[in-house]
Order: sequence, then C-alpha cells, then structure tokens
Amino acid sequence: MQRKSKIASPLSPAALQILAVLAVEDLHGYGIIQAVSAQSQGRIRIGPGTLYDNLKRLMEQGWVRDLKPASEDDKRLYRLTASGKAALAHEIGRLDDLVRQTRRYLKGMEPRRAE
Amino acid sequence: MTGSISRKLYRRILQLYPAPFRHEFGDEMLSMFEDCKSAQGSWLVLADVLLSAAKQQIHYLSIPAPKSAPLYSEIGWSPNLARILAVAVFGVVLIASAFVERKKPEARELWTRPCGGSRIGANQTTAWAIHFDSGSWRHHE
Repeated sequence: MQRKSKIASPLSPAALQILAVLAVEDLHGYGIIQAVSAQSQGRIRIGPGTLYDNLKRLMEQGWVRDLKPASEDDKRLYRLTASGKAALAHEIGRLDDLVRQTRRYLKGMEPRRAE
Repeated sequence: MTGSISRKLYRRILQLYPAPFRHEFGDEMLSMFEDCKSAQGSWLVLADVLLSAAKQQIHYLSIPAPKSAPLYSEIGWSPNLARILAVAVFGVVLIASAFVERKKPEARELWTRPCGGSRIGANQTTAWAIHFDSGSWRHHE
C-alpha cells in the first residue's frame, strides 16, 4: 500500500537527516545510521526504532524506495525517489528562508517593532 | 547489562511490533543490534526500539479494519480506534456503576441477613432483596 502524499512540511529532524544522507548515495539500514552520525559530527544519532519508523513512513509517501538484494548475503538498500528529492529540496528551501530571516533579525537589521 | 540479556530483551521488544512491520523490517533490525549497541549503548537502543514499537502499535490500531469480501475474508481481528474507544467507554461506565453501587452501604448490609427460627436452621442464611423504588422487601429462599 503506497500512499503518495503532498509535501508535509516541516519534516521531523530524523526524516530530514535520512533524506539528506540518501540524497548522496543508496544506503542500507545501518549505513544510514552511520551516515547521519558522520554528517552531523556525531551530534545526531538515530536508533534502529527511529530509523525504521521513518523509513516506513517515507516509503509509504513514495519518497524512498527499497532495492531488493540480488542475493541473500546482500543487504537491502534504500534509495531516494524523484518525489523524495523534491520534498527534500522544498524542506531545505524552507529552512534556508528561516535561517536567512532569523539571521537578519539577530543582526538587528530589521527590528520587529519600529520605535 | 550483559550482551546476551540485552539481545534477548531486544528480540522480545521486536515481538511487540505489529506483524506486518516485523515481517518487513524485523530481520534487518535484529542484524544491526550489535553494531548499534556498541555505538550507542544497549539502554538507548532498547529504549528507542520500545518507543518505536509503541508508536507502531498505535499507528496500526488507528487503521480501520478491512471490510470483508463477499466470497472470501481472512479470519483476523484488527481493532480500530472506534472499537477501542467503545471498549474504553464501556469500561468506564462499568466502573462508574460499581462505584455508584458502593455508595449505598445500607443496601449491601441488608442484602443477606442471618435468619433463625423454626422453619430455617440457625446457621442458614436467607436472602432479602430491598427494592429501592417501592421501598418494599422481598424474601428469596
């Protein structure tokens, strides 16, 4: 059962991290955990439960798909789909806007209340 | 926690996942346990998986039960949220009614009373029912 949905923003931090590492390359389950940890310099560590919760949801949304292993010894890989890339780009754009706007406020360039 | 105990516990927790989820990801989750444990610590991994199993159970319980096909339907029961709520409401009503009963101690005390006399033996009891509507007594032997 695949439920293609619109881009639900904002994504959870774990889902965003998973999509981000899958944008680089196809990875198996533990590879995703390692890549997330490496990408965040060890600040974000996701456990197996969080990983597969999110993978299941992302697969249902059609943003990630699994590649069946060629042999029994191979591990199942996960790949970002085209709609997954679009969702990731949308979320990154949203975060980018947020960061730029907040940075402006923090620098005092655009105060909230004109005095 | 020793390795074998935490692994056993991990297996047990994996059994708590809904069957479709377990069939799809159970083997992978089991195979990565040792790696995750050495990187994150067994307590964190177990807590993460336990929380995830609870989330998945809630998720699957909220999915409505499939409608049965006219010629073929699988025997199975997947409770949906409405059923769970109905059972919960029924339970609350049941408990509330028991609580209301307890608020009438005089009725409970008078429900049975020892009875002596020639017709019934001294050690026997006879049931007396009090009817609150009419205030009358009825005797049941």
